[in-house]
Amino acid sequence: MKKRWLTKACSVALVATMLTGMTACGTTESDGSSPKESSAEASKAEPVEITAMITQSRYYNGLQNMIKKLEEEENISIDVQVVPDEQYEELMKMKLNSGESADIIDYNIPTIYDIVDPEKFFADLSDEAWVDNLLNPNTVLYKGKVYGFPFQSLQGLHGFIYNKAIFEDLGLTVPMTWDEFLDVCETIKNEGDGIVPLHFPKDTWVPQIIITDNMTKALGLEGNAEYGEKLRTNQAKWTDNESFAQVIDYYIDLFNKGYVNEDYLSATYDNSIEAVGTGKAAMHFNGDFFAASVLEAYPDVQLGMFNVPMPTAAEDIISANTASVGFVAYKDSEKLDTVKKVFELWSTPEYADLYFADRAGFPAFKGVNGGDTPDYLTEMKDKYLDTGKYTKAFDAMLGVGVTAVQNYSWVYYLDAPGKGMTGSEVLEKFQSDYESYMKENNQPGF
Amino acid sequence: MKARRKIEKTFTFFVLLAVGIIYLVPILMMLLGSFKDAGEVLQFNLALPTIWHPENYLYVLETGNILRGYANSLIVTVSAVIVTLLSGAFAGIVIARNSGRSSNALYYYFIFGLTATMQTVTTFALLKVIRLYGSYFGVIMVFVASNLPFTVMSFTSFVKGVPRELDEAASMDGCSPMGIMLKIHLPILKPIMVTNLIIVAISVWNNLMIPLYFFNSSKKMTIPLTIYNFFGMYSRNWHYVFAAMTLTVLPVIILYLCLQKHIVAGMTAGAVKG
Amino acid sequence: MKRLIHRKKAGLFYPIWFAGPAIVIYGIFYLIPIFFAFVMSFTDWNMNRFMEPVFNGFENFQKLFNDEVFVRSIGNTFLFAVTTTIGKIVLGLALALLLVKPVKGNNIFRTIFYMPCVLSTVVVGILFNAILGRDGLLNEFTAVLGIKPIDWLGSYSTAMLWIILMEIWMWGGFCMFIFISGLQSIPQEYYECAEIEGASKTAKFFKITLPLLMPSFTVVMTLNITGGLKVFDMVYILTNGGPGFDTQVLNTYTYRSFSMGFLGQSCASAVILSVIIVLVTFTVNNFLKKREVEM
Repeated sequence: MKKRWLTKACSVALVATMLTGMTACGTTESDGSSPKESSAEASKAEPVEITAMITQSRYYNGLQNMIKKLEEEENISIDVQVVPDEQYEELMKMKLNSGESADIIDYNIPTIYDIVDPEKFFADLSDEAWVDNLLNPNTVLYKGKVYGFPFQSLQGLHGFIYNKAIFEDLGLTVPMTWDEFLDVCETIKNEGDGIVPLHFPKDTWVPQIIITDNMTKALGLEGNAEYGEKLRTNQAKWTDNESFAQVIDYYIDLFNKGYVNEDYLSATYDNSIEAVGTGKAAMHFNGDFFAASVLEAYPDVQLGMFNVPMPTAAEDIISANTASVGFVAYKDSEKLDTVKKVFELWSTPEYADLYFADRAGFPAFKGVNGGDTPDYLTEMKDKYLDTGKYTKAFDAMLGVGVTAVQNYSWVYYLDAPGKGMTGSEVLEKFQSDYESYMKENNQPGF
Repeated sequence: MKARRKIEKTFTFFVLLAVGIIYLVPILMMLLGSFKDAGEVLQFNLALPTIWHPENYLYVLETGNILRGYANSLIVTVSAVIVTLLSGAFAGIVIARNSGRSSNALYYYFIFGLTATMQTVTTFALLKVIRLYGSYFGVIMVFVASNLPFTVMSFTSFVKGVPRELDEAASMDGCSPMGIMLKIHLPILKPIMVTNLIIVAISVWNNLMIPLYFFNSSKKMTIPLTIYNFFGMYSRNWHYVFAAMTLTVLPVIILYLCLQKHIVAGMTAGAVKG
Repeated sequence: MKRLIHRKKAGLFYPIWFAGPAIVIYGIFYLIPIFFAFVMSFTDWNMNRFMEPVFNGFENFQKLFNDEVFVRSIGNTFLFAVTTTIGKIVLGLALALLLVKPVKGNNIFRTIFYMPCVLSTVVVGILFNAILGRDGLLNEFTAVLGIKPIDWLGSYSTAMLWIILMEIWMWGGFCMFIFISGLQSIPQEYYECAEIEGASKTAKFFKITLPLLMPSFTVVMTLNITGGLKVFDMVYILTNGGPGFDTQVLNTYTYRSFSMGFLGQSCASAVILSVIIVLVTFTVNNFLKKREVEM
């Protein structure tokens, strides 16, 4: 009898929790909207709602504030479906192909033009007023037309991020050549009391950066885009360019010399942040956003950034991610007018400043405040960005081939040091995967 | 003899205690982590928090849309469980009581489902064609359909264990087949109902892929997806992730504790006979 | 009169439409998509050519069997299914034997052992990644024993080992419950008789407990083998098939094909998995059913 009472009490409690859950939910919602309703109701337009699909890792505070502002001032609300990064691309393609798309879709502009046919799916935004305000309109063009709305003119640049305190303690200076860089690693390894010279995680998108970056440097400012184009149309093979294999060999050498953390096959990206932030590791190769993330978690750390090309480099340049975080508008959306209005508003400093308020960056539009350049970036900015000695990586030219790169070669790069593969073996293996992928997708030339 | 038995008992107890502690390690880590601050939680250990931070939960509740997630998960889980159990029970009774080729065929019709896996893309296309994509109804039906094979199988074997004489006696008394089902079978089926309720409820509550792929609005998103709100590509707020995880897990554990007594009974009487 | 007798023999007649809702829902929302996928496995269906698949015979299957990663994933799938089934049965049975007797804290222990399987795999994956990392909990523990930190997820053998152990941890308690209920349904008289005849403990276990527990074995085996062959979550969350493609299993391979846009190939891989499951379950079930004893 007593036990039956207990079960009953349990289920009552459960139902009660559930009910409070629902009512609480109801009240928060109405709480949120009541002040707006009362304020300046007459002057406001009819409430409109549009839908958006956003990668969860890019649903930044800045963007959230922009969306909030729209709702408060314009009565435009955005229903955001936040999708985990790993599932984003499939879900987006599936929705577009079946005509179920959200009104606006978050992706890198112009990368998305390679993945989905913009003429078929996206609204032409060429005639919008904000296009004239773009600092660098070329980056959003597809066959001369604008299909995407960018936030940035440049997402970030690549290089070594290092912990300044470790360099000071060991009396090291920033290396200028690859040999000097190796010396620095050797010193840290020998005298650093367990400090790891270079930290890599198992996330496949990280270790590939130093390889792709150096392949780009080997091709040089001029040859870069051309070679990417050739790879895309099968006029060149990955194995054709000798320096590609050499780049991979230099990279593998770092592992053989013991400069990389031993647990690179199980460490996560978070571990990299922690290692550099806490001084367990001295360096890491990545985009400059890595430094921002380290500082977010460890505000007191002194970080610097430098560029040292491998001996394969044709000239002293850096690679940068020139694609911008942005949105495309779905062509058949019933609320295209509202979408265009939203983009128009977002291009103004009033809104766009919010985007950069807590994440400094390079704004896409004139007159927008991107925030102060962080300390670690000034040198790189002076030396490379302001002198135009930067380029996007060659793999930005590969079109759909990028999927093959991400799913095969990135995995091989991580796998090669442990399995004793050489650069040319890796590339030979990848070339056959690449060819069959391109064939499968009916790419011209394959 | 008595002393030996006592030693044996204590020994059993300590073996169980040791295994139990190992079992609890991950869960303890999650619980403790949810009360730590952003830096301390990164050590991923079983140390107590130096300062307890219950406000982590407040933050998660306020920013993560947890409450809306609870409401949606409830709508989906409760409906899916009710439809699965009722339709599954009726199908199970029919299959178990009707002998002959048609009921055998029906049995294999459902069993086939255990061997196949759900097909995301074609299911997506189907929902699109019959205009159920993005609706609660569509998602609930997909959940019901994917849980039916196991439910039908277990109900069938349970009913086979219920003496036929009961049905016959009721039939003599002039009860219609429907009447027999509702008045005789359903009450007897309670243990297997509870077992299935727990299994179906847990699998629906925890499922990530089906709501992600077949809902198209954040307003309908269920609770597992909310954990991702505290994941960034470039950093993770582990203390919030742990708190969100604890909140996700809590309702199923409560449900389990309430119904735990009946699970063994359900398995004894039914599922066991395969 | 004759008809009446016949009807009685065949049992009571329940109209088939009682099963209607289940038949319809399951047919529409589960079988139709699967059938459709089966058809598509013979086409070059691709995410980028969503609306225009072209029939290409057995090409997908041919490609799959020529891919060394796919062949290895079949091996891994079997390794996983067999070892986890054995592990779960041994652990589940041991726990059940200990807990079927009245022990102190009996109910609490049962709850603890069952608890992991109510957690979602997202949660479990996050927790185990934290435990098995280089600076994770496990290495902190082994350090106390003086063992050098090990890269648990960094090599094929240890990564596979932990995927298997995690699955056993999660579902061992579930098997325990099936065995407990099986043990409880064995009539006590058998044991009393054996006691009188002076049978030893081991004799009792092998002569009474095991044979009469056969039906439970059938269920546990069938559920675990099908579940094991279908494994996806455990691998996806812990290693995502890595390092390299070493721990890839059939279902993660299917998912990888899907996410790369090879929809036809992904369907073909799913079809192969289904065929394997049908064959294996059929064989296992037949084998075990013959060994069940009537009480």
